[in-house]
Amino acid sequence: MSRHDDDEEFRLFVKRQWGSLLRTAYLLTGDRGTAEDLTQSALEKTHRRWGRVLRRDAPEVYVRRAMVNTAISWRRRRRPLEVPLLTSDSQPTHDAYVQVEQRQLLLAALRRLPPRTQAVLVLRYFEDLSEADTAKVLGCSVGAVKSQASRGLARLRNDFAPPAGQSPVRLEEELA
Amino acid sequence: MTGSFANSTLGPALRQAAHGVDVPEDPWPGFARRERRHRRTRLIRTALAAAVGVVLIGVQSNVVPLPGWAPGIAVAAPAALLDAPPRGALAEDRAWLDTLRTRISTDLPVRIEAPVGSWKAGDRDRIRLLYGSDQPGQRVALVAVPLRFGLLTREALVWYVGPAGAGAQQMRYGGHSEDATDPVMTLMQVHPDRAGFAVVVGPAASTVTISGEPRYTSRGTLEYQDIARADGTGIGIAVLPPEPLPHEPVVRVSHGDQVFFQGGLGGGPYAGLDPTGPEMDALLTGARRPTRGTPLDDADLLTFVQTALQDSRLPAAGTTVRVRWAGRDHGQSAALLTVQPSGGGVIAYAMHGDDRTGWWTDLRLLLPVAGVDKRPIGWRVRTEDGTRPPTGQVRVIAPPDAARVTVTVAGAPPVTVALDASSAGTAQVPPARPATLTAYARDGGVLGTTPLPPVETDHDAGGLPGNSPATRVTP
Repeated sequence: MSRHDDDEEFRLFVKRQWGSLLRTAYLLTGDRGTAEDLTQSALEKTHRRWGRVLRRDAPEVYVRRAMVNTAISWRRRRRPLEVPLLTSDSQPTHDAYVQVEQRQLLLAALRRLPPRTQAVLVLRYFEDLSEADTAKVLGCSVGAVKSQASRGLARLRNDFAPPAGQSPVRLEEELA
Repeated sequence: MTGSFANSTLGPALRQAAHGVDVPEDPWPGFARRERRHRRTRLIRTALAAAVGVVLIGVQSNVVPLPGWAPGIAVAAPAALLDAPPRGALAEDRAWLDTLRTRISTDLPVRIEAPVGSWKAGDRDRIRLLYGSDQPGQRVALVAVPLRFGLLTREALVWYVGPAGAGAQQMRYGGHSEDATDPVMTLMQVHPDRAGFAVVVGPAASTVTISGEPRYTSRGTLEYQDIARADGTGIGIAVLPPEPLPHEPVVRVSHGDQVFFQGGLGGGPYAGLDPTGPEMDALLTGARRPTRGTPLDDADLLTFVQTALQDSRLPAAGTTVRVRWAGRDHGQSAALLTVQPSGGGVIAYAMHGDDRTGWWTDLRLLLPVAGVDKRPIGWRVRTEDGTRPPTGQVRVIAPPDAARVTVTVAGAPPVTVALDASSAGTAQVPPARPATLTAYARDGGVLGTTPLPPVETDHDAGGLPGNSPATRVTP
């Protein structure tokens, strides 16, 4: 494959992957601007090793691995970004605002998890990666993925308890 | 809160949150613009660092004098590959290297981006062979290539691969690193139809190991076989089986206590377990033998067995699984089972869970073969939230012939555990206190003794059973 072909293939890769990477990055960081920086950084790292990545790795796996590792390293260096949230004092009502607030509470609880656990849950339940593919991205065993997913879900269930009198959140019913 | 929390609540919440993120129709122009800007920034930093370096070199070489009282900086011994002499049989083949130099200087195999255009191959005579050999059954060369961009220079490390004995023109590009300060370079090539290889080049005088399959010894220890062959100092070579590989080879390059590199040769095609294969069927048939407690249904048994095999990285073929106890924990299906590779140690797994809320591993413990059937086995019951702290309750499973089992907390007298009809019982042990379980025969003699392991930390959880003291009984 010539360099021109490589360049063209990378350009198509960016076009194909940008959207899903940006959304995953947003779920990992909780901030739109940081998500763009993270996506950019992961793709640049992939670009610098594009030849090797094409030969030795699945680019989709490599770029996600770069993204998760970068997110973890940024989280160590930077103050964690928190979505400003307050539990509502108002009476529970089944309107869209309450559902949005509950979703934000859940996302805030997600961001309080250890970064790798957070990554496992985002990859499994947003990107719909299998346990094996998640393990490939994170460079760990399937058992470790299962264990982290179980722990993460349990902690979310524990942290995210809807106020008394409210039914469990059914966000799929939420109005767009 | 429903049990299918992940699918009914978390998944939709993630999708809804991500849905609000706008994605440009064509992200490429923005990406390319930012990438160019970042490259410029990196280049400026490199240039500044180079300028600072020039001053420092001036200071270092006494061209710029410093007063005698100025503090010095202790530096480590040089470790970069560039400091090492050429290694491997090809180091003496001047004609071959000369042809390769000519080829590289006219046709750099990779495009290494500069702010405007790309770096070009620099002085032909400064292209150096760091390692070259036919040792892995292929001709492999690692070459340091000087690069030039205007006044700036740098080096890249480039792999070339070809058939054994290949001329320089037949060599193919095999990968590269733009960071010439990398102390270790690795190359792995695997093929579906024939053996592959891994080559590791570390600093001269370093020791290279390449770990193959893990081995659980009958003494109850975990060992990795070193499959690396040396080809000169600081070089490791391994022949790898055709893909898919059973495991990721793990490389370690060290000199004394200093570890230059430790990590897996990731990215290869690795075999997964086939849950429907004949080996798994045979293994499950053996595992379905009548056991103590409530029989497991087939789906739960398959989940437990798959989890144990994947965690221990054991294949279905040649591995024996025994369900030692089955019952209910936290209202869910639970089991204590052991897996044993042929002739190897025995790994006990305690697990519970269901498909709706997930599966939990409560115990991973590598045991020696001798006396394994006479050991009591216990694990600390953990809560199911957060970091799963231990509750202080301990689940105890007695061996088949035991009349009774005691638990001895360090410094306290033994306490007999009340066993149910399935030979299981519970005891109280403070979470941080070590304890020992002892099984007695009907005649009062001791059948076996097993320490109660501490709960595993997140750090232990990523390793194989037996890798950390919390997961083995043999010191």
